[in-house]
Amino acid sequence: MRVFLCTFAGFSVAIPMHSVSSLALSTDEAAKKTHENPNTYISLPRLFNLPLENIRHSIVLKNTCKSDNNTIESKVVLLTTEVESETEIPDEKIFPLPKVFEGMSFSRLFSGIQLDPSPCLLLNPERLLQSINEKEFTV
Amino acid sequence: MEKPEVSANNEFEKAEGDAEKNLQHGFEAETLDEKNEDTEKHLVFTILGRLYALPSRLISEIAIPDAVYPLPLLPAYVPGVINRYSIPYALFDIGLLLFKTPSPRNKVLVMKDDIDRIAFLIDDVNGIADISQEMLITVDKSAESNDLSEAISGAFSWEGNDVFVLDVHYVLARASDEAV
Repeated sequence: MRVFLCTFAGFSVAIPMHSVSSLALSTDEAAKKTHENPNTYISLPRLFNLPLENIRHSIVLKNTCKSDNNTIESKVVLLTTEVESETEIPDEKIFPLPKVFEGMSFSRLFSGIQLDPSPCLLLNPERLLQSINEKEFTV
Repeated sequence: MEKPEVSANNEFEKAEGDAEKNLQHGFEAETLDEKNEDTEKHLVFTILGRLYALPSRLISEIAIPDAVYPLPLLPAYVPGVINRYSIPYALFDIGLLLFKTPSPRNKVLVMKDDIDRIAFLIDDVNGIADISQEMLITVDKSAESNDLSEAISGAFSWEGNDVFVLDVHYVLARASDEAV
């Protein structure tokens, strides 16, 4: 599976490329939600309860939904410190999460984990979007 | 609580010797699975100085955690995952879950995969006990039982000490409930 890798302290997050519409440099202005900009912005460091750092890159997810007035498309944009690389993770190296994690918020974000050489969590964008819609996470 | 003395039981000495030798690489517990008709081997260990046991058929290996990888959004009693042969196992701190006190990161008990990919932090392994059904006291889980007694499926006397048999499935269910 081809992924974009975002590295944080002690772990990295892999975002499947097939779920990504585009990457962009992020600016403070970009995340201002206005009538003209109904996108939903999710700060990955904040989502992971990490110290807020400089957000440099934004990842626009493919999944889109109609905004409240059904006229402008709202996109989900992940804000991250840096998209470090694009890489291939062989499917056989991605392990499903232990069953005990089901029901924990952790499992609502990630669908797998690779340990070698260091922990890499496979983000599940569909579940993330579902969780946002169900307001399970404050973003 | 004072750490009980280890049995001079030959079988345990062999197991302990093997464990010491192979601890870095994990300790295959299959050799402990031999079961007499009316007894079952239990691995006796300490968590925060208290004696607990688990049927050895549930245990895959005993290991020293060389690295614990903390991950985001996990409850405090899951300090992270450990790497066993490139496979991630969720590490549980039962001391923190049941007693609100963190356990030292001395050793881990890795459960067999058919339970789940999980491991428990323990202080140390104390021995192996052959326990017959007659020796095993079933803990009555009444409506008034507390969290601790709910986490125990039975108890037996060993080397003059009371040993509590952990109910793994309850511990896991409790962990999932707490996380919600």
